[in-house]
Order: sequence, then C-alpha cells, then structure tokens
Amino acid sequence: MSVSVEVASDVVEAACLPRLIRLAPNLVGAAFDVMKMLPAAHMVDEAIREGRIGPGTTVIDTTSGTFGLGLAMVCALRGLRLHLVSDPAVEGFLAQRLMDLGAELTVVREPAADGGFQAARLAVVEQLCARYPDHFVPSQYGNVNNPLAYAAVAEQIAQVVGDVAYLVGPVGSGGSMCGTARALRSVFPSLRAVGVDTHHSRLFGQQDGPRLLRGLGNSLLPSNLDHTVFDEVHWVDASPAYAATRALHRQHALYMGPTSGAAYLVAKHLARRREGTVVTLLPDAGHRYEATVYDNTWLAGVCPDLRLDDRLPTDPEMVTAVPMRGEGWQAMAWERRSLHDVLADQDGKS
Amino acid sequence: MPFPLFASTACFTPVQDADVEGGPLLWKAVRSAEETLLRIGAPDWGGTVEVHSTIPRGRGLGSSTADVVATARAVAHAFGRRLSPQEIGEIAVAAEAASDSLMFDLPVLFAQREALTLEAFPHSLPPFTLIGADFGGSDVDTLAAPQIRYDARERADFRALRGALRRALHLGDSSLLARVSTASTVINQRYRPIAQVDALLAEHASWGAMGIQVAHSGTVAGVICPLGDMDAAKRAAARLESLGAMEIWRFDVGVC
Repeated sequence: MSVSVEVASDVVEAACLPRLIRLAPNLVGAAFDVMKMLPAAHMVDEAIREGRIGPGTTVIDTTSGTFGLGLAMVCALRGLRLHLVSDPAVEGFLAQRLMDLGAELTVVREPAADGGFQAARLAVVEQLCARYPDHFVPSQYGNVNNPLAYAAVAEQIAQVVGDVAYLVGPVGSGGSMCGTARALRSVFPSLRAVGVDTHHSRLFGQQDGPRLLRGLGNSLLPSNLDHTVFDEVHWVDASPAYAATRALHRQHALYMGPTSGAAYLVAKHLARRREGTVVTLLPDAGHRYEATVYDNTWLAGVCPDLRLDDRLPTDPEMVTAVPMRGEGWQAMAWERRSLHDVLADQDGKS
Repeated sequence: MPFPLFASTACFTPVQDADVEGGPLLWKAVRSAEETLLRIGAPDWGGTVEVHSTIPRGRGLGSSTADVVATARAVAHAFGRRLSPQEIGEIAVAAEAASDSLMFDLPVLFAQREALTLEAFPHSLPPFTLIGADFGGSDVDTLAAPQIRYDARERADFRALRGALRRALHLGDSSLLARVSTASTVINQRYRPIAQVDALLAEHASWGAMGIQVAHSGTVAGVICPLGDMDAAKRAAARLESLGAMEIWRFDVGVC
C-alpha cells in the first residue's frame, strides 16, 4: 500500500487496522495493537449516526478484556460518558488505563452460580441501565455492527494478500472471524475459516469450566458467533498457547498477547500441512501480559511443565467429536455446520 | 470498460442568442449542450446538436451517456475549450441525472447519480477478451428503475471487493479482476436479475472463462475470458447463443 496523503483524524483511524506481516512463505500475521478498537468504533459511530447515542447518553457495557479498552478509547475520543462493568481480571494496568481514559469502572467480586462472572456482570449492567435511562449498550456479543466492522480488515487483506486459503483467528464474541471470513468469501468463496477456542469454553460445544487462557473462549454463546462460517475448530490449552506466544516473540520479534499465540500455533500448523496462503488474526499487543505470559516466574507457577526453549508442538490431536474433557491441543473438522447439527451428528454416531 | 465496437459522434453548430436545438429524441444531448455552454462561460450561445450513434439503446451499454459526452466535447471544442473528465461527469449527471463513467480514460469507482468519483485508479484495465451478449427484453430506463439499497452485509462485501479490485488493477491481474466482477454480478442478480446470467455464473469456470460481468442496469452481460483464449471464447459464445442471446460481441480489453 502506498503512503496516504491524509493525516489520520484520531488514533482509531490511524491504528485500528492490523499490520500484515509475513511469518512464513505462505503465512501472514495480521497483528493488531488493540483489535477491539475496530468494532468498538463501528458500534459507537453507527449508534451516533442512527441517533441512538446523543449528547446525554451514557455508554454502558461489560468486559474484562481489551473490548473495554477499545470502547474506552473510542468514548474518550468521541466525548462520551462510559461505565464499564468488569471482574477482578481487569485489575492492575488495564483498570488504570480505563480510568485514565475517563471510564467509570464497577468490579464484580463474586461469580454467579450459573454463567460465572459474565452472568454476574450482566446483572450489574441491567441495574446501571435502570439508573441511566439515556443509555447505550454496545453489547459486542449480539450487535451486528461488531462483525460488520471487520469489513475494513477484509478489504485490507483482499488488497494486500489477495487470495486467502485459510483464515485463522481466536474466537470470543465471533465478531472478528465471522465478519472477516464472510466478507472475504464474497470474492474468495473457497476461503476456509479456522476458529481457535480453548477447552472448557462453551463456544463450540464444550461445557463451561475454569479456563487459564483468557481473551478467547466464552462461558456464554454469543449470537454474533455464526458456527456455519467455520470449516475447522481448534481447542488450545494455556500451555501451548503461552509457548507459542513466546515463540512468536523470539522468532519474529512480534510482541503479542496469548490469544495471538494460540492462533499462531494453529496457523503455523496449517501453513506447514496445507496448500495456499494462511492469514491469522493476532488480536493484541503483549504489553498487558508483561507480568504474566512474559514473566518466567509466573509461567513456571501456572504451567510447571512448560519449557520455553522446546520446539512447539506441530500438529493437534484430531478428534471426530467435540471433546468434553479435552486437554492440550485438539482439532476437529466443523464443515460449516451449526452447533446443533454438530452435536446431533455426533449423538447419531455414538 | 471501453467497448470499441460502437461509438457516438456529435456535431455542434453554435449560433449566438439562440436556443439549443436537437429534436425530442436528443433531449439529453440538448441539455448537455446547454449545461456545457453555461460552464464554459457562453450562456448567450445556442445552436444545433446532431448526434450519430451506432450504440444500441436501452441495453446498458451507456448509449445516452455517450451522446451526452460527445455533445459536451463538441460544444467545448466549438469554443476552443477542453473539459476534464470530472467536468464532463458533472455535465452528464446534470443532463441525464444518472450517468455512466465513460468520460474517464482510466478505471474509476463512480457514483452515477452524484457525479462523484469515489476512487480513481491509476492503472488501466488488465488484458482480457470479453464475449458480450444482449439478452433482449424490454429496454431499461436507468432513471425509472428504483435505486438499489444494499444491506449492511452487502456493503461489507463491497469493501472486500474494493480491496481486491485495487489489487487486481495494481498488479494487472485479469483473473482477480474477473473474480471481483463475478462477485459484483452475484450481488446485482439479487436486485436486477438477468435470468440467463445464473447459468453463466454456474458454468463459466468449466469453459476456462475467468468471470462474469453485467450492466448494473441493462440487458447485457459478458463472459470474461483470458486474452486470446479462443477455446474459452468459443464455448462462451456457444452457450450465450443457446441461452437465447440476440446479439453476441467479442472484443479485447486492455490491449493496444
């Protein structure tokens, strides 16, 4: 791409698109600073355009991750009041940054009996909505402008990379993978979408449970997740994801977060084993994880068997049914089926 | 896309303190002349417009825009002036409300009712052979057709298409350009379907063709073949004929 002749109007415009970086002859990383800036800006700007956000509107939402950061950046730039509901995962530098950006923060201390912290946070959001009658809740899990925001990424990939055989990315709300894959398929219909989830996430049929790897997976089923987009699903545990995160830094000097590591692990495997160009979404930069994934003492505590200098695992264990007590790195052909059909198909076989 | 088989030629004879005359069939050309005279600072002048055109009307081949552009150029020429493509575009939209983009030499993304150049591409079209066909049916009145309102998902698809289009033009990649054109045709079929085009979409790859192209308001469609691929061209032409094409044209684009 050539150098633009215009100065960006703000950091969202300047930095919402990823840098496309070659990681192997047929592997391209799409490295974002804060990927969630893109859907946050699109959801807020569309709501302003449609008159659902006015001068007195309070933006309210729940988040424990980078969506809150993206939303806080956009609200600060647009001069909007923001109230975020989070859980203890937000504390530390992220909470400081959110408050610096002018967001009000409520931290929920106790998970709900059913649905964990996410359900508990949603309950607080409801209370806040009652308190602020003039409110707007972007709700990234259900807002169609979340996936639609990724048309910009599809445009960039189509222009810079051209024909893509595999699009790989972590799945949390479903927005980035579904939005990017659907738009790219308009011109490259044979594109295969590969979702990266983690064990004990409900997204692709497992039962909800405690997860060490954060930023992908979900305890709830977001309506923005269209299962029929996906050709293949991988479940990656924290340990291989962390190892791949560090390998991405060591080998490519790309300082990214752990969901990027999980996606890189899967993308590298596909690039080695399959024909065609693989593009992987790498959602956020590593700074937020200095005290965790990039801290060897912390790593040794949570993953005692992890050896950072070992070679990364190259291939997943292929499974033919959604693993219910899975571990490590497992993968399954999803074949653009609905979750209902996948579960019905495997019930029929057993 | 340039279509070298047909053309409009305009002749303008200026007369001072007179109206522009051209007859009722040429009302768009007359308005183009009036608009051009205003723009070049000759509001006191009128004259006679004559247009000779070999372009079939109402098919989506841009016949009325060709008349309008030829007239604007003839009028400007009579006063020793030249007009930029953008000026002619504005004249054309003033004259006929919705205009094709054929005043531009290089490819553009053109808002046909606003005369707005959304994007001008610095590259000419890459080479390919087009087998075009007119499937007939009632003439298309571009203005009378309701304006299409694409949904949000389609607008997202258009962004991907636009990225791929830039790449195709930048690299001179005819095959990618044809894929963009095919994807655009698929979307257009939801709003202004040409019945025979579904068969072209389904079958073209098996003939060795690269893609399908349609007039977004019209009765013409084309099969995009690799430049000089006579086998693909013959098979495309045969299929167009069996689908009932009234006329079939073959020409090369992106060549000199």
